[in-house]
Amino acid sequence: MIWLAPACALLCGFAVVFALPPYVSAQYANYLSVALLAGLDTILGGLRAGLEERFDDHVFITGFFINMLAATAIVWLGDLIGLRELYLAAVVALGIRMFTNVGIVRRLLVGRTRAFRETP
Amino acid sequence: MAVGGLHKIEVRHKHTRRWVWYITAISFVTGALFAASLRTQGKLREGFGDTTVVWRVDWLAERWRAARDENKELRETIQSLYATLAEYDKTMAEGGQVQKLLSKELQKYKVLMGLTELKGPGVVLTLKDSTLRAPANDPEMAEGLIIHDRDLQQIVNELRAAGAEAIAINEQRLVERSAIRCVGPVTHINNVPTGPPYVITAIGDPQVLRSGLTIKGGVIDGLKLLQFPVELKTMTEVRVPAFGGSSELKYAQPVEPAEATPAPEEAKQ
Repeated sequence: MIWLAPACALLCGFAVVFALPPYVSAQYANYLSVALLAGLDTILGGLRAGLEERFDDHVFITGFFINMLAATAIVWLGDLIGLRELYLAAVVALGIRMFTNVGIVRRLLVGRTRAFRETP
Repeated sequence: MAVGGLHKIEVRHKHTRRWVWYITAISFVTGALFAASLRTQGKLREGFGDTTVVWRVDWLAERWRAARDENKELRETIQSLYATLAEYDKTMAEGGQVQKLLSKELQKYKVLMGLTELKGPGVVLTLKDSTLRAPANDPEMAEGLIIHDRDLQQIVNELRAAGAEAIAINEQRLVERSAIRCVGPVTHINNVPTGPPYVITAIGDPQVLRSGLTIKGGVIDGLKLLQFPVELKTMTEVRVPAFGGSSELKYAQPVEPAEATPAPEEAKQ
């Protein structure tokens, strides 16, 4: 049941901002999308660490902000030096990590469920 | 053993709760980012270019609405003023000999000013953008395949040179102070936006008008070369609408006849 909390928070955050008019200027759309990926990556990373029982709140929170900063910085750098495709570096790096973490979380959950079922 | 196991579960449970709350907080932010990103992309998909600032579009839309409403009001004012004028004309025409004479004179000048609908022999010219398609990477060629203000200006010039007495483009009467200019994707004629197909009606000697337009190396020749669909019809009767805009003079004032300089020779007929 505790898993409902992050899901609800995600929905709440979504609903709150979705109700507002979209006032982000279009030239920053890439920054926003990359920051979103960094956020999703942080959630999955935290989930994995939590399930592996090595969750560290400092690592988690700094990871969130630093990843987001780094990802947007790469987009900014790309815009600056006329290499607009540079944002793909952040997208690919975060994308691969998300897949890895989803895989690990899946394995951990499957293992856990199996262990729970097989417990006499 | 059993007590130790329970204790372990409790500790783990507490631990679990803590990291789930962290993830919950970040989830909220990420959800917000997700919504913001979706809405921004949605706006982009509506087609507001890729460098346009969205709030600026809203502001411009607001300005445009205000201008449109004002425009509508002013048009209504013009209409009501014309109605009043017609009323005066009627009263004058019903009056005595002098008034009838004045009324006739007034009518003459109104015709010359383009304030009345006219009919007579003439030509109807229909123009459309070229049927050729420019390659996607050649915006310069694409520019060359649509009808521009300069094409219309050339045609109007040609018609006037051929003695056209009244000309209208897409129902907009051309008068002395009319302008034809491109504003973005549309053409403004008398400050009224219009676009292709352009139907140009002109009253005059149909044969002279036709030969003026179709002269070798002339404007229509050039348009046909680039496969612009051009349709030119000579008619025994065409109608040219009245000018519907304002003809108020704001800066110009007539000079007293006594101190007026005589008109140059060429202008005297």
